[in-house]
Amino acid sequence: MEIIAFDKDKYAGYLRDESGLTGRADFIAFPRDGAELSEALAFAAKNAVGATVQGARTGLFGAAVPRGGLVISTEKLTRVYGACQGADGGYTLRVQSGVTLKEINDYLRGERRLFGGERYAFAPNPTEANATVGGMLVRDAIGLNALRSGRFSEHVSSLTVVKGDGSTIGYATAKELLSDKRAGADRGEIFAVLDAELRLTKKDSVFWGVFYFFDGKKTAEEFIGGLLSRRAARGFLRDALAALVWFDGEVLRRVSERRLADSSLQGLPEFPADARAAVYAELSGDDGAALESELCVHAELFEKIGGADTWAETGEDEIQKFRAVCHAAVEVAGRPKENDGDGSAYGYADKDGNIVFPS
Amino acid sequence: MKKILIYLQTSVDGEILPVGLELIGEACRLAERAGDTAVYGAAVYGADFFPCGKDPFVSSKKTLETLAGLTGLKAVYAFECKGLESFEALPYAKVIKLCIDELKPDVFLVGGTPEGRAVAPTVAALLNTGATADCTAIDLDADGALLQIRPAFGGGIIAEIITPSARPQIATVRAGVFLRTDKTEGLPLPSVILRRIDCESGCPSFSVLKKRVTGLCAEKFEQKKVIVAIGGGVKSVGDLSVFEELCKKIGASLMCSRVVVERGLLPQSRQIGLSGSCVSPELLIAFGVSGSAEFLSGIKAAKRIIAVNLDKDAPIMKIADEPVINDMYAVAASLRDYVAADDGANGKVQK
Amino acid sequence: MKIIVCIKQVPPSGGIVVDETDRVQIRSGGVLNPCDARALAVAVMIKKRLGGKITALSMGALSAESTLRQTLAIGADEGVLLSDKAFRGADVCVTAYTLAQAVTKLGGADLILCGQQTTDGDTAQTPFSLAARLNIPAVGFVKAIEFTGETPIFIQELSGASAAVEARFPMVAAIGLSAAAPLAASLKERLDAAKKPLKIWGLSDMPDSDGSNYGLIASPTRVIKISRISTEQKNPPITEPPADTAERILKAVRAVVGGR
Repeated sequence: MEIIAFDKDKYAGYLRDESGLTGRADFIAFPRDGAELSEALAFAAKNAVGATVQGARTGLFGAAVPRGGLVISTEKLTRVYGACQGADGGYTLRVQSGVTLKEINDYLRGERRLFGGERYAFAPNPTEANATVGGMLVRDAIGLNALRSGRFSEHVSSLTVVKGDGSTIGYATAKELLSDKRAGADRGEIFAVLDAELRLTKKDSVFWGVFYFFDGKKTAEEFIGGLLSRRAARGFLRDALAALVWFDGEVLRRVSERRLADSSLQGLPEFPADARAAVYAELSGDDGAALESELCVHAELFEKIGGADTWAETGEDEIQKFRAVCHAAVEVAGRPKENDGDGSAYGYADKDGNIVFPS
Repeated sequence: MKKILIYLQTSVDGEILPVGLELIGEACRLAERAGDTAVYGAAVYGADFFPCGKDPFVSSKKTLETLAGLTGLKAVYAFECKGLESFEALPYAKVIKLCIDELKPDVFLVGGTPEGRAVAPTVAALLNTGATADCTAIDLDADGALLQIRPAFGGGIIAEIITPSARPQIATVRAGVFLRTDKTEGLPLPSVILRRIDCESGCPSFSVLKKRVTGLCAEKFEQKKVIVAIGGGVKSVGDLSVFEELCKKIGASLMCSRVVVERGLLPQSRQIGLSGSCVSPELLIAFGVSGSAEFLSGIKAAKRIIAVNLDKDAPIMKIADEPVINDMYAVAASLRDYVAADDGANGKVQK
Repeated sequence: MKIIVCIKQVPPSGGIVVDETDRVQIRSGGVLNPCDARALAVAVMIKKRLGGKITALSMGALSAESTLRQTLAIGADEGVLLSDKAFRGADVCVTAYTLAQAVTKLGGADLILCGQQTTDGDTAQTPFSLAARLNIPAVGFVKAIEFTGETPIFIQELSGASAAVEARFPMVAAIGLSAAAPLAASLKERLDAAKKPLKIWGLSDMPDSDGSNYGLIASPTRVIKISRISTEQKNPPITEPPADTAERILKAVRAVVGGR
């Protein structure tokens, strides 16, 4: 595998990610397997240059922006090894770290791709479908459904990592890797994920997405609080409520401005004019009737609190246009450069009910 | 004897629309290859041969002269319709049906203008036959069967379609897909067959409150020999300006792919593609265009294509004469420097 | 006022699948065709002003029922799904015939609204074919709606002109993307949609119940071959500094337009 001298014109794209920052680099390599990944890291260690491992460079915080040294792109580590069933009856899918979320979803949606006669899915759903497994893993990404599904690492069982000196080690859990990574960060240690075993979950058959619009932040907070305490109290809702997303007025306004330029946002009307905050909720499961009666309770709560408009859709395909709004919100709310720091707030509720910004 | 009938549409000033001439050119080519085939035209006019609408632009004498000059056609039917004041699909289609009932053509070709795309399926339904919209290619065999080819199923796929038994076989074709016929010597001039029809007793028509003429021919705006096409990489008005300036400097037309129009950055008249315009420039320079099937079918007639894109797997890179992997803005910036240097050193680059 | 809105469930973008054996599209769920969403919004707007009833009519696989429910949530009063194996594989001509049969069974309508084109078929022909079958006039390529008093005015796109056409019933109008913004159903409306009537009609429910007049068999056109667009590289990709590309482009431009 060639360690290529970095040509600034040809590889300009590799100096940037979605943060808007631009870096610099001296070398670049595109390993295709574990041996080549080791080679690349060993080269960096031997020549005492830093190494920056890159996935799809879709991150908003500059993690992929190189500061000199060797750029290691995982774009050729795209093998999907296939699924297998574990001792506990669950299914896992082994993939190399350059595989994207979209590729995983396309694979699992394949026409005859059934496991034990059922459809399975990979639960984590950060809205950036082009992000790679490696990228999502090292930042322990959270998706829309953090409320039910938590963080990325919770859906990874074993994985293989190549260390900064070129040696390859296996980890039994992603948690172990992440804590090692945190510990090693002070020492400037580098890890590159080679491949990971992803835990699959049985796919739900009924999906609902609902946008709740409020004319003030307080009523919106009250509503989220109401839903979360209901969830804590009632077993069913704990399972059914998959996602809770928070939008404040400024984020809504910025997404609105993007509507014309972004065709994925054009399947919906304009946001209600007096909306100062919004909550997006997703429910899913297999019992449609039960989900509907749960939603009736939400609707009553919403009315009691004094909420104004709602938008609702059912069906996984139909709720994609709502998810597109969430994706647009990440982009307009998140860029550190553009954010004037006055708290344009957007985030997903995690398992504990705290609103966190997608990372 | 096989017969091809072409629907001739006219512009507000009485000229036959270019798409009609292109269809005549292609039909003549098909006729030559298939043998034993004659090509006819049919045109529908309001009372006194005004193209449509209340304001007369041409006298009937000029209209008939225009029709009589259409080389390559064996005959042209000209229908003068009392009671037809403006374009409407059903009455026009019923008139054309009269022509088809009499002539019994094997093939009926219609230019893919809004009027044509309304008339073709209406005529097809009246005759219980098939119409294929937006063909990118057609072929006629010795038995008179028409092969109709178009992108289908969302793009990435080309479908070949036939109409096995129903007649006529109807196809619509957008402007710019075919070329007009070049040679005119030796080809016969058509006879013009006048028919006067009374449409007033047909189904009641709409009343058109007002008609705003938006241009001689909304099909194309002026396309120069060099076209710069911009694509999805252009996200804002600011991104646009560097290319607008570039076009001004080098004397090129600025056009774009569908997504740029959807973003509201350029009007629909600048869109290249099956639902936009088909272009045939000497040189096409594409910046940040990925090249959907829809777009690519609009540039088939471009003589030379230079494509600048960071994605080497973009479909346009497969067909470009010079596929260059580069950042479109870096190249645009370099171009701006070069052209500024030219301006400074030698006066403006000649157009 | 009786309004019928013709809607279609289409695959989500990028999701079109074709059966390679008979070259007919495989239908298994999807979304409301974007132009149809606009047609529905226009129907709701007109009903608000003039009163009346909206029937949503769709021809499709049973999976299309979910999309019809969505239209009931957004504002249609009743839904009719034409679904039968016999209807499968219909081209434009036969699709329009099938829809016309249903319109006749519904007792006709004052206004039939359709989306201008679908994201999977993309021919923009069905509204005209349907109007011809019913022998009523059609206005196509509608880019905006206005009102004078109680009368809708359709602004239509033509060659070199746009025309403001006064509605005259019965008629068909084919609505484009820019004519109206799509509507969204509220949670309450979406939950209540389950209560609105939705009928499913098959071949035996049609006035003409002769199966040979429907579907692939009756279609005058046939897709005889489909080929994926070749992905062969015509010329090797070039990598060079941007300045060299700029020179390359200028050289090519000068070759065409002359100059230094």
